[in-house]
Amino acid sequence: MDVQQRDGWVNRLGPASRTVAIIAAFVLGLFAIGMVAGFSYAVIEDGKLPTKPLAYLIFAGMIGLVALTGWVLLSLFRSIHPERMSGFDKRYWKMWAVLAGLSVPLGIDIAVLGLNEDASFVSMVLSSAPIAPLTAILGSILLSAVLIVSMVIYFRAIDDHEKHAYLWSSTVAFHFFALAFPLHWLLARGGLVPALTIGIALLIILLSCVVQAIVWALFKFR
Amino acid sequence: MENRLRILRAERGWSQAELAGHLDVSRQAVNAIETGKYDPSLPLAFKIARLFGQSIEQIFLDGVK
Repeated sequence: MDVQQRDGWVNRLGPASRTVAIIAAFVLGLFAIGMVAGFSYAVIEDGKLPTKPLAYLIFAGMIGLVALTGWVLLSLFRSIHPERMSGFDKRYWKMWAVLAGLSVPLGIDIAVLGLNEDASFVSMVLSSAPIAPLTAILGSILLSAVLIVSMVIYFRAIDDHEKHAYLWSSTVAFHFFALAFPLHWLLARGGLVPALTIGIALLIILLSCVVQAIVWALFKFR
Repeated sequence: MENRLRILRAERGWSQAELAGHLDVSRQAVNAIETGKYDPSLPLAFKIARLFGQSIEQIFLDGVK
């Protein structure tokens, strides 16, 4: 069976579906790698293996998810033919590869930093458990540096149309954030929702990022 | 804003991807300009005009008589 037959599903996808598939695979892959890293880290810290069979089942599932996303990404990248790509497309895909190379290790790093006893994904990302001051400083420097460098690389590689999409999506996301935050504060004062914690604040930021991604995709691919 | 980009591209027998290659932009950018969903920046409008050997006003129509 040749590559063309094996990766036939990739050829049936349009450019927009391919982009969505790549982003989804990255997010799922990152989630699964974070879970595997968290599980392994917790086992090393505890010095004993978990007793519940469900833990092993979840671990095996996460390994499977890592393998699946790896296969999806490999198939997608194998379908790219550099000789048929324009100079712009080559620069654009190189930019995404560099950004993934910078942000995926950072995502894993942050997930591992947030580890605590139950080591679930939500607790890893939204954990406010104490960490060593030096780790906090290094993490902050790394996060700031990667974000700034990523922005410079991204803006140098994209065209006018995508800049337009990015600026509009950023504006909408900011307004979402500027509305969601005080709304939550007001509702919390009325006792209608739980009081604002750092976890809820991070969740609002995460939702703003989701809003930005949706608006960006609408402007880019409509 | 209406424009004649699709017509000019068709006259040369180019695909959207080929025109995008000439302009050093994405295919989505060409599609968005052709369908009037996105008005290019002034530098990109000049680039388009130079590529087709026409003035900006001959390619982009503002609808004012």
